[in-house]
Amino acid sequence: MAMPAKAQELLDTKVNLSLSNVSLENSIREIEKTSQVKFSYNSRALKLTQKVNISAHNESLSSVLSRLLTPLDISYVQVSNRIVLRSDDKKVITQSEVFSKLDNQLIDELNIRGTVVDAKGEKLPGVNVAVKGSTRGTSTNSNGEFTIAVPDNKSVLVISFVGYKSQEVLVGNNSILNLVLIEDNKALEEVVVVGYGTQKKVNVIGSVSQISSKDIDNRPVTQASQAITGQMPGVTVIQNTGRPGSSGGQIRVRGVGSFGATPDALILIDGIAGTMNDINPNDIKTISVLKDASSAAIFGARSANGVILITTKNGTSDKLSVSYDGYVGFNDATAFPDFVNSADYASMFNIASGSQSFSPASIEKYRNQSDPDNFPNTRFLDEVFSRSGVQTAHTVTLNGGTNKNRFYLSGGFLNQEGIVEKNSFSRYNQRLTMQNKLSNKIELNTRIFGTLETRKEPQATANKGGGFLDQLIQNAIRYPSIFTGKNSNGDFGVGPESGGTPVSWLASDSYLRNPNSRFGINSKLDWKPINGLTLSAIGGYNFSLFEQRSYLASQRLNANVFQSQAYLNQSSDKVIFKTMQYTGEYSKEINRHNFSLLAGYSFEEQNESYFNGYKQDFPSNDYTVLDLGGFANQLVGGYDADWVIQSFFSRAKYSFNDRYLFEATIRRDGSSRFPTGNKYATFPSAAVGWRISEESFMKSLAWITDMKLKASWGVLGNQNIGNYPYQQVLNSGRNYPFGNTISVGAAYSLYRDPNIKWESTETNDFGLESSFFNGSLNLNVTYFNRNTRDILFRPSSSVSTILGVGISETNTGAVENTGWEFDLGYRGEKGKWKYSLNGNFSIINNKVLTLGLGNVNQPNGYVGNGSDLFIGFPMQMYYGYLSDGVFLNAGDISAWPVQTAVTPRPQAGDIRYKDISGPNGVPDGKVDPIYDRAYLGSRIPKYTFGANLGLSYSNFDLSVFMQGVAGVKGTLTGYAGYAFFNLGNIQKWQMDGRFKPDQPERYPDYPRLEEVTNSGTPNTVTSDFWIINAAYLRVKNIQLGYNLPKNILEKMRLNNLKLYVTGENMFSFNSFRQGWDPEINTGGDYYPILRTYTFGINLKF
Amino acid sequence: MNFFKNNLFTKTSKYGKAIAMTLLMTVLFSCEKALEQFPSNAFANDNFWTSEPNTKIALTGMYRGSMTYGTQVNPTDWWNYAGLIFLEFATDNLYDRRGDNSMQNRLTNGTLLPDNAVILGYWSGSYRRIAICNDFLENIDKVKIEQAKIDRMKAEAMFIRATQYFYLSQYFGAVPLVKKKLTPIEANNVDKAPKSEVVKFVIDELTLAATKLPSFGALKADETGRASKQAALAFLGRIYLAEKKFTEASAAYKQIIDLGANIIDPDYQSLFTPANENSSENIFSMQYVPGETSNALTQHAFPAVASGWHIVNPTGSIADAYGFNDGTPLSYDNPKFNYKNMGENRDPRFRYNFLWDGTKFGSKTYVCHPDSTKSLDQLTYSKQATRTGYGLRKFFDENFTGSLVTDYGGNLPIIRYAEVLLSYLEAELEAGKPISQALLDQTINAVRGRASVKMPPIRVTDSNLLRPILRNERRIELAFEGIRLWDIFRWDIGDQVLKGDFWGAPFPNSQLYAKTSKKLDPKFRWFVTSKNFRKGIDDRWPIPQSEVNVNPKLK
Repeated sequence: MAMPAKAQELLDTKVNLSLSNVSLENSIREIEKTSQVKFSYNSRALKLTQKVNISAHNESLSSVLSRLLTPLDISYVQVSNRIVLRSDDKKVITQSEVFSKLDNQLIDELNIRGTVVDAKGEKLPGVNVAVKGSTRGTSTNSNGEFTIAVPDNKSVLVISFVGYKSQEVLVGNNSILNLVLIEDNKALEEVVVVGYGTQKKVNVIGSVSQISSKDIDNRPVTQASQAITGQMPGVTVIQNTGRPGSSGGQIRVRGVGSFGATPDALILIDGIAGTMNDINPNDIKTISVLKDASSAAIFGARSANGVILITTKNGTSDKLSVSYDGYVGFNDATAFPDFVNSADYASMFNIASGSQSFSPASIEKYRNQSDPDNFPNTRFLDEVFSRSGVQTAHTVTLNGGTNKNRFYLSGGFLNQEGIVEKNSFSRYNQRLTMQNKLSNKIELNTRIFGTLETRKEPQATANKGGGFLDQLIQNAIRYPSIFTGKNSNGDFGVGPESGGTPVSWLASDSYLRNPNSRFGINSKLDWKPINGLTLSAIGGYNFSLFEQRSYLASQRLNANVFQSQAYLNQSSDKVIFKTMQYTGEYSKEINRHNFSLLAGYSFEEQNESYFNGYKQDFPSNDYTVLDLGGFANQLVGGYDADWVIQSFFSRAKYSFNDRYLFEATIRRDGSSRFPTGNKYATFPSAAVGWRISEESFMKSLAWITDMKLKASWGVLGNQNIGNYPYQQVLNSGRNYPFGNTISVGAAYSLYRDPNIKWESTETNDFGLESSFFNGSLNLNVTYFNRNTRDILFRPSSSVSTILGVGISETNTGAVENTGWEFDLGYRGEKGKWKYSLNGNFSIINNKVLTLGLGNVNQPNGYVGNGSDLFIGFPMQMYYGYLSDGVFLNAGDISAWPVQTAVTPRPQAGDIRYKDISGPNGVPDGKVDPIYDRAYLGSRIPKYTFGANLGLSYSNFDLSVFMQGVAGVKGTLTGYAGYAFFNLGNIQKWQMDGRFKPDQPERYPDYPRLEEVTNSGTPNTVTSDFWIINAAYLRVKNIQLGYNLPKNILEKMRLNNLKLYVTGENMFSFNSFRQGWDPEINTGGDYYPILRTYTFGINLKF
Repeated sequence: MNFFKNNLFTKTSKYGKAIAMTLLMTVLFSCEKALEQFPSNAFANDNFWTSEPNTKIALTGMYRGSMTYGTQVNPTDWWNYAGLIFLEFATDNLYDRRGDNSMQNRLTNGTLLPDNAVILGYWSGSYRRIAICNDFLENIDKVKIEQAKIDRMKAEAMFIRATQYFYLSQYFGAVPLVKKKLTPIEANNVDKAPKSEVVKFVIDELTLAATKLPSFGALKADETGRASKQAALAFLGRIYLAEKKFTEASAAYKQIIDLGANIIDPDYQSLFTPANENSSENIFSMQYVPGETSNALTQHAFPAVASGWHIVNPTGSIADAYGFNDGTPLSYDNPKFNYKNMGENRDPRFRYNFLWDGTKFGSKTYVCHPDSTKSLDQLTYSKQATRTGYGLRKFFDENFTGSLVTDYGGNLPIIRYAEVLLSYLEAELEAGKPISQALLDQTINAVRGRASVKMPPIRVTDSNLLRPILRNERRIELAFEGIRLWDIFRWDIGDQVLKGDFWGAPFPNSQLYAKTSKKLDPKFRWFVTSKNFRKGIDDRWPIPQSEVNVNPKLK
């Protein structure tokens, strides 16, 4: 048989195995697993139940198969990338001929002929063709042809073949049937990464969501956290910045679990705790999120807010493969606020200040721009966000090795320019993974990675002081366009504070450089001394050095103004993380009982040491190292901080007949962050599952591919608090001068609870996982309930300042998150069209159950701290007044309940607050802060959803990914929310929507214009006037790809070549404030979320 | 790896391999110790109160209290520039450039509400200092050093704690009287003590502290800034004055005078700059040095031409309280008054304390005329510049260069000997004692007669005629030093001086004045603001809203 060169290679794959008294089916499986080859066969014609013995050492697949199969009269051929097994043709045909002869004698029958091919058009031999509801059947011959006799034209043929999706075809009037079988990478065989191992998806009884590299590939994500946005139900990623180098996502698994300890998920990269930023998204093989207690409990102490397991790619094939992925993209902001021009600013300011600060003549000059040096119209926001940033990334991977020693090597480079000049982020990274089979029983996995990333940002100058977002960008939002950026003679405008403007700062020599280096190595040694037992040891070491150098330069603004200050702040923070982990796992199958037991120990330690130095009065902006600074006021500082966790854990799994599943986990953690006596805590969990589809009464429902009911319970911990929270200390840094010399001072400044212990979260989880029509339709439904208690909280707003000091974490309060998660997927194909649709939807109800210390009975019936936490309401809530438009005139004011307790001197155009209650529980004719404030919504989205649509035709594929949240509130404050805030600017919507005394309107978009100090005014107190709907639906990603056809690839000696174009954050539907992205709640110091258009290429040799 | 491969796994027996692996897996080194970790940059309370140097660290932290450095608008403490100087925004002396909605302005313009951030700042700053003092007093006896040293430090703690209750009683009235460290639950359930009880505590503590503290003259050079007997007596005098116990007030002040350690410095202006800030006229001052503990008032109050934010704007009301240098009151109609140079023929303290249009500030010229449209300091309502036509000169070394935020080290006085003398006279006067010329010369005339001021002496001994003279002298001498609001409260004159329109400097020949000023004045003074002090409401600050939220008993 003439085979293409590639196929020959498949059969040349080297095989190592040693099996005795194992069924042929299982031997085939074992070969599939170890040599990454796929097999297909007709399960009706071939009953692979024979027990066989085989051992092979570095032997070619063809030779192994010959030895194994020839004695059993089974032959094999290669079709596409599979090995097809069939029994001796003669026998089968004989058999079917017998059947047809018999049938022919009985009734008047129809003879049907046909061929069966795979998706690539290659003929499939040995495919089972049967008549539904009868015993008749045949198989295709070596040319993929079959003939069969059927009773009538209502007969249905069932075409089945292991490894392919079964098909049912109505005979109808066709006498010739040409059928295409589609490969089935069935969900049933999907493997999910779980804690300390992997598990077949069908056997998972926890709530685990997983995405793999194919969900991330070709998206221009710079950080891994961006890749999971909207992909998984119950996982909310809030992306509130586009700042290059920022991780850009706050990940919340199943709501916000705590108002105390940081509710961050635990992130493990190949089993070692890390951060999302540690990794090049291209190196990711899978990201799985453990959401419920039973799956997360193996990580005990830190798993209360979910665990994110990231695995990186391994060496996979036996031959060297080289691939290149690269893209170039262009960024701009998803939304920009629209500020008014200088003429409009001047006339609006006159209205707001009730003065004629700008004369009609000067307003006209602003309008006609005849004298731009003196009457400019500088759009500072446009000056700062002045460019379209170019973003490029390149990753080269080498992948290969021998059967015993495999490797994966990747090198990547990313450069992302911000949309501000001098703003960029670059990352170089390298990762090497080696798998070495030291013997038949011992395998060593070693992973080494190194990353060097640098963030660069412009800054304001020293006399102004301060950074990129809080000065440069915030003042670009703040400064009105009446200030000069740059004069026609090249001089800079001095700005409202003689400190320059964003235009001069951008042109200055100030800079921020933030190089971070990370290096890590971890080794895992697996030893399988006897069948079923695996002992593993992991050692990991991560080194990180976070450096920062911030230079604020001196600058000439004009002939009269020279900003002479300059200073340099330099810091380095070294973090060393070490871990040792030992696990042992024993699995045994006795009849249909499957047992497995895991036990382990882990020790983790992190040491941090920080150092910083400061010098000022640099004579030249060209020499900006500490050595060249002046000697006055130089400062140095530094500290060390360490934590340690020691843990013992164990997990037992039991299943009967792959049908009844049971799992229990226990973990005991000891942490340095808790006092002696409370250092240790135990976290148990248990889960049960019932694969209802395996029951015989379900077997007849062929359309149900898989169905599982599951329930789990467990208790998890959280210790995301400071390093030394229980120790009574006098805090340093309270220095004070005596006799003109600074003395070191320390003071009692924090009340600490000496008896704190773990925060714990109890989770209940009930779910249904199902898959229909041979896996083409999937539906998962989960209900969960998370109760967090003993919340480690600094209840500062619940404690009277009469305490006199701050308050450290104490175990107080409880929060409940309940919710539903839905996951629906469908995939199908028609001809050359393939399509898939996956949607996920989750509902999360967050509710404070108690505040402990802060349970104060408020006169209006609320119980809570009176500001932002109340029993029965969600966290991150807004508490304020309800409004009913604005006052129209004096008569309107006097007719309305007295609101002088909020607005001491109400005027027309002031917000009209509602009188909702009073001392007797009914409106009392007065609006006051005690009785008339209420819950106005929360920043935690109640609904999150995502949808992924995939479509492919021939070599083209298109995917559209949408994502959104609803039931969420947001607000813009400060320079972003209020006109003339602290001498700030005014946005167009504020001008257009303002209350106009001569055309009074009850519900204007903006109340009367007024000057707002940085402490606000009676109109800016929290009210529903400002708390707005922050729901959105975002077209997160649209991607069109084209795979070059095979024949061209072969000519180019390429394995694969894909070209694609992608739009990320394309557009969104929302009703947020004009010019602002609904994911951003800011007062002005922010970085817009970026929209990116990318062209990319994937190449594989 | 080769070692492993060749020796350990190939050559050793199966049994040996098992032992080796088991050993490797079971080497659980003793990690229990690693679970004990201690902070490196804070002092663990249990082993801190052991030595004299450590007590100095705690003492320093106590003086620092809740002060924060750097620019600040809302106070965290009575004793930094935002706490002391900015309190005058609420008076007829200063106007906050941020406008009528500024939280300090709202203290007295008729729009004070319990959610005012300024009153919360003073409130929580006071209780923070009190907590630090309580902690200090509860622990200091553990240290084994000479009793005299412990007694002095305890007296300092009592002094600082008493000053906080002094301020709380004067502005809030009845407040919780906390004398020991509290737990959070105790703090949330305290009751208010009657004002009389708080006042009694202040009097008792200051009286006791005064006996233990060293005299001002005995403070060593490296103790400048620490409390003295005189400082305690001066606060004692203050609370007696406020409580109208004039005889006791007089006695307290007399003690300071009799100790003889303080002087009226011949040079008024340099008392407020680094040059002479340690003059023995300054009995107790907030200490600032450049760098970590710098005075950022420069940034907030320098004129725009010197890169400042010009938040501090003296009103026409106080400017006009500085009369002519012959002792006669100011009148624009008097030929001695020169619109072009308002400092001419005036009480010299006007020149020392004020900037006005056309004056020099260091090497720069301060131009704030409404018609000077190109000047950064032009008087308008739109620029980050003056709102009154005046700027602040007091407290500044005009030749200072460097970062306005981090490099200025000028101290700010809390108690000056000039205040002691004026208060002594007031106590004598209000006690109904006969006023002698000798007493006038010893007090008010010493203050206004100092070499650099040289105003003609006061010769009025009739108490009813003297009272307004003394009050005006007090206002202009102690201008912007954070005392005016307390004076207004204890004299009960809020409804007289904090009502109606406020004006700035006069600009009779301005083109733009008539078009721009929000209200016009026959004397061409710039319109600043209107106030509407509510007697009986605004003279007692409400307990902050957030405090009532967690402890409704405080309402």
